[in-house]
Parts: sequence; structure tokens; C-alpha cells
Amino acid sequence: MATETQSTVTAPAAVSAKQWTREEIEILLARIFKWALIAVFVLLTAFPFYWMLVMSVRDTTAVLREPTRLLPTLDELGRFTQSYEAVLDQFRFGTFIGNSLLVSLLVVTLTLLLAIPGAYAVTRLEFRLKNAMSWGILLVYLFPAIVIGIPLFVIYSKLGIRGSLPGIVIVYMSGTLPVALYMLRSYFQTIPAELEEAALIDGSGRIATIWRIILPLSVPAVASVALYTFMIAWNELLFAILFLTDSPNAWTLPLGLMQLDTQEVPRTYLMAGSVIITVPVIVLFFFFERFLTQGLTAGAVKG
Amino acid sequence: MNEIPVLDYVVYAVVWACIGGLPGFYLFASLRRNPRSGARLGVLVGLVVGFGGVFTGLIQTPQDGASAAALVWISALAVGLLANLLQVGMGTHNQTVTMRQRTADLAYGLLLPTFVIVFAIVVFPMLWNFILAFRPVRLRDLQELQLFALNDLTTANFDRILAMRGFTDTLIRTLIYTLLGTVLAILMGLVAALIVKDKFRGRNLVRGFMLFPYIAPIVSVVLVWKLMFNAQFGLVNELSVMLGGARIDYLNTPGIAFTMVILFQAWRYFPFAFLFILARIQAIPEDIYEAAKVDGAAPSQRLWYVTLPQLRAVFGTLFLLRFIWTFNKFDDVFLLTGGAAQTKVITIEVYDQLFGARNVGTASAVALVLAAVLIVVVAIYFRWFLVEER
Repeated sequence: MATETQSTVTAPAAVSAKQWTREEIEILLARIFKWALIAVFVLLTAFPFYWMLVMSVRDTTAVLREPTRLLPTLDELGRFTQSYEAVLDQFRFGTFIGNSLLVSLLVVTLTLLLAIPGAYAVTRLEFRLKNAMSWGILLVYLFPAIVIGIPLFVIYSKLGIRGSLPGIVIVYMSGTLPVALYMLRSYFQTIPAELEEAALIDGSGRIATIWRIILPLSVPAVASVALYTFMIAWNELLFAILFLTDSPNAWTLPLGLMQLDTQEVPRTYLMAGSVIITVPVIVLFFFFERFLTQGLTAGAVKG
Repeated sequence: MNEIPVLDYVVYAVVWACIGGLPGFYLFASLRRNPRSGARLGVLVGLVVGFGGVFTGLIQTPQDGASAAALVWISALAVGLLANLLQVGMGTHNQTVTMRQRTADLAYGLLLPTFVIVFAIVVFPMLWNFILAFRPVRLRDLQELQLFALNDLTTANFDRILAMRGFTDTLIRTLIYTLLGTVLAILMGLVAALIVKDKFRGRNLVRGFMLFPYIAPIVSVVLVWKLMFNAQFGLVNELSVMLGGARIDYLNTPGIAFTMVILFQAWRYFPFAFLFILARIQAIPEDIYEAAKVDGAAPSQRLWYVTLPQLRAVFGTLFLLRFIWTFNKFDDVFLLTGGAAQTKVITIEVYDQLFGARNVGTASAVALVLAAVLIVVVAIYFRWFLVEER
């Protein structure tokens, strides 16, 4: 920044020596604008998460006394585990974390298990319904979730599986499968068919070919599908509200956190809960940012 | 069982046939027989065992469904194995199978599980929602409900919607919210993409931050917003009071709350637009810019006449996707305001009908209206877009 202010200040003196072109003025202005906007965007996107962290260690009375304090006191930092322990013990967040992990990991595993062979079929094999299926996949993920929610609610109630975790895993899979198929398909299309043709001529079966040739080549695509599937299952709320509200033992993290949002519960605990649910996603994101960004654009992830 | 619900039989027939057909297909495939004849045999077994169970009273309530499915499954496998031992099959069993059909069979085999799940969880409920919207179903009599009966069809649910106060307002509000939320998110995404397109120190970090609102769980980001905009001790209010402004209850004041809901949409979903636009900007070949520069175009002109026209297609796709998803979105507004302070959108109305009025039929009817409006809007968009392209 320092160099820019300097050049603005010296500009009038330089006019006589050198005529400023429109190009130069615009580049200068654009640069100032750019840095100002970067600051604004960083503030807009990162600050709420910083605030979440700060508020998760400051208790309500301290916040009411000094609502604009941007840093917690050392004393508050020293006692930071308090609110987290309260949330985990008093409000059963341990159970919710377990449920959410179970559901998310199951969704990831099963989605990959079905989507990899499915995507292979849609890219490499010839069959009559090929085009219909490829288009059907795309249409499915534009469907309004709330429209299928009500009939499913009725059927699940009748079958007596409404409060069960396997029931919700299948619902989540119906959302993740089409996108996973689509993402994997666009990746498989970039793998030259000659590679597997050689293996097929050598007498290797199709399934073995997928396992030994396609899969090792598709690690980045598989990783991004796994990551984004995990995120969808971990963050999902609508179906959790519809199906699990009556069965507190099956609550996932988002549902449990939502139920905590009442007048009686101190905001400190709410923020501690928010940190617990957000941190895994952010950590995964920073470790695998490359895969995730690729996946988000390749598959046009629903959100 | 006084009257025979016809639809029940149709639906059950499909279900039994599917449950029997699946193992039949895979069994024959694994025995290197023609999977299609296996599927056919399985369908037959499924129908016989399923309806046999219903008529003998073994299968009575839907709760017996799991054991019934297991029964059908085992019978289909047993009959399939037996048929193979006895070297009999359905029609084409002993015919030679062409290479072409073998490939197609493999494809169907690989796709069937996905197809079954998507059909059972998405397509079938979607279709059934049509019928549900024309039936008098309440939450409390769900247990006695005949699932697929057609004898009590009525338009009462739609009459109730028409008589509902403020339903048109809700519809118009939903459209405004969707349109503004979509456009703002795309504009923010464009600005964000323009400022990080060139390399600078810390660029990766800034780009990472930009994705935070989008990847974080919705519940936690809404809770932070609610805390920051809290009327009593929210940071935004405290700061504006310090600067001499007024204290505003942002999320509970009609008008302001609606603006907040739209701003939240823009904030949460701009990263999606950002990623797409950034990818497209970085794919614009450098020599177009060079040529424009040689022709004397200033940076602002290069942005307006070179970059933006290149982004047209991306804007089109983004607008369509974001419009559809925002229109269908439920959690954001539900968590932020619950539909209070004149922020109710149509998905919230569905929820309110289901759990507030405890009326399943009306909820389905509202959902049907939602789907219909969406289809009309998308159709208009495509018409307009295609005319524009020509």
C-alpha cells in the first residue's frame, strides 16, 4: 500500500515531466480498488468464523458487559474448554457427533461403491438407455427436496423406519449418487480407452479392469467425490428435520445444534457447538483444497 | 379391507417385481447365464410370492415389508438356482447371447442399484405427491392411511390454498427473494473472481477464505449471523450505536428481515458463482487481451468488451442453477427467521402446513404448486434464452 500512496502524492509533480496515460491511471485505480475489495471480502468471509471462535469462549455476562471486545481476555482463553465440555456432556453432542460420522461415512462409502461402476457403465459401455440415463441423472438433482420430502415422510412413517439412520442414509444417497455419477463420468471421459482395451484383450474381466486400471488413474476424482459427498451428508438439515426430530437418539449434529437454539441455552454454548460442527469441514477443506475446488466446479455441487 | 384399492395392487406389483427381479438378474449374471431371463424369472417369483403372501395373510401391514422383501428375495434366489440346476429358463435361457447384449447387460447390472435408489427415493415420491395433493390426509391419521387408495380424491387441499390469506404474497415474495438472491450472489462472485484472478502474495489464502461461507454447515453460519445481528448485544448493533446509529432488530423487523434474508443468500452462495467465473476467466486466452491492448483499449474497456462477453455462457448457466436451487431452498430462511417478519417463502409454507397445520394433503398441494411455478419459470427462461441466442 505504501508505494501507491507515495505515487499518488508525487503524481502532480510528475505531470509536467511525464503525461499520465489513461492506461496508467486506470491500472493505478484498479489496483487501489482491488486491494480495498480484497480487504472487504476477507472481512466478510473470514470474520464471522473468527467471531464464532471468540464467542465460544466468552460467557454471556462478559459479552453483555463488553459486547464489542474483539479479543477474548487471557482469563477467558484459559477457561476455553469449559463451554466445549458443557456442550459435549450436558447436551449430548458426543452422540450427535457419532451419528453424524456414521451417516456421513456410510454415505461416502456406499456412494463410491455404486457410483464408480455406474459412471464406468455410462462412459464406456454401449446400451440403449444410455442417453436417457445420462440426462435423467442431471434432472434428478434439480428436483425440489421438499417435494419428495412429504411422500417420503408418509412412506417412512408407515414402514416404521422414519427415525432410523439407515433410512436417512438411503435418502442422502439419492441426492449424492447423481452428482457423483456425473462428476466421475466427466473424469472417466478423459482417460484414454486404449489403456483398458489392452487389459481386456489380455483376458481381464470388466470389473477387474475397473479395479486395476480405472481406479488407480482416478484417485483425484474419487477424492473430490468422497469429500463433497461427506460435506453434503455432514451439513444436511432438511431431511434430518423431517425424519429424525421425533427420535432424539438419532439426531445428527446439525439437527442437534438447531434444537439447542432456544432462549434458555447460553449463546456461548451455541457457538461452541457451531465450532465443533464447522471445524471438521474447514480442516478437510484446507488439506484437500485442490480436490475440492476441482470437484465443486466439475460437478456443480448442489447447495 | 372393505374396498379394493386398485393403485395399491399396481404399486405392490411393481415393488414385488423389482425385489424379485434384482437378485434374479445378478444370480444369472454370476452363473454366466443370460441375466435377462434371470430377471424375468425373478419378477415372476416376486409377483407370486408377494401376492401369495398378501392373500394368505402372511403380509398384512407395511411393517411386514422387510420380512416380505426378504422372503421374496430368498425365493427368487432359490428358484433361480433350481432353474439353473434343471437347465430350464425363461425363453432365451439357452439361446446364444450376442456380444452387444452382453455389454448392455453388464451396463444395466452396474447401474441397477443406483437406478433403484433414485427411482424409489426421488421419482416415485415425486409422482406420488401428485395423488397425495388430491387426498384428505392429516398427520394424525397416518397410521390408518391406505397408502395408495384412489377412492377419496378431492380438491379440498387446493381450495384451502386459495382461501389461505397471503398465499399470493408468499409466491411473489419467493420469486423476488430468488431473483435478487441469485443476481446478488452472481455479482458478488464476479467481483470476487476479478480481484483474485491475478497472482499476488497470499492469493491462495484469500481464495480459500472466499469459499468458507459456502462449505460451512448452514446451521452454524446462521447461528453466527443471528448472534452478530442480535438486537440486544449483537456486534453490528453495538458498532452502529457507537457510531451514533439506531439499534435495529435486523431479523425481526418486517422489510429489514427480508433484506437480510436476501443478503444472506448472496453471502452464502457467492462462492459457487465465484468458482465458476474464476475458472472461466482463467481460461480466456491471453492474446485476446494483447490484441485489445494494441487496439488501444484501456483496462476498463478490456473488462467491459473482452472479459464480460466471454462470461455470458457462464452467467446463463449460473443463473439457471442458482435460481432453481434458491427457489427450492428451505433451511436458510427457516433457520434465520422461521418465516416470521414477512419473510415466509413457499418452502416454509410447505413445512408449516405439514407440522403447523398437521395437514399432509395441503402440504403436498403447496409442494405441487411450488414445482409447477418452478417449471413455468424455467420454461420461460429457456424460451427467452433460446430466442436471445438466435
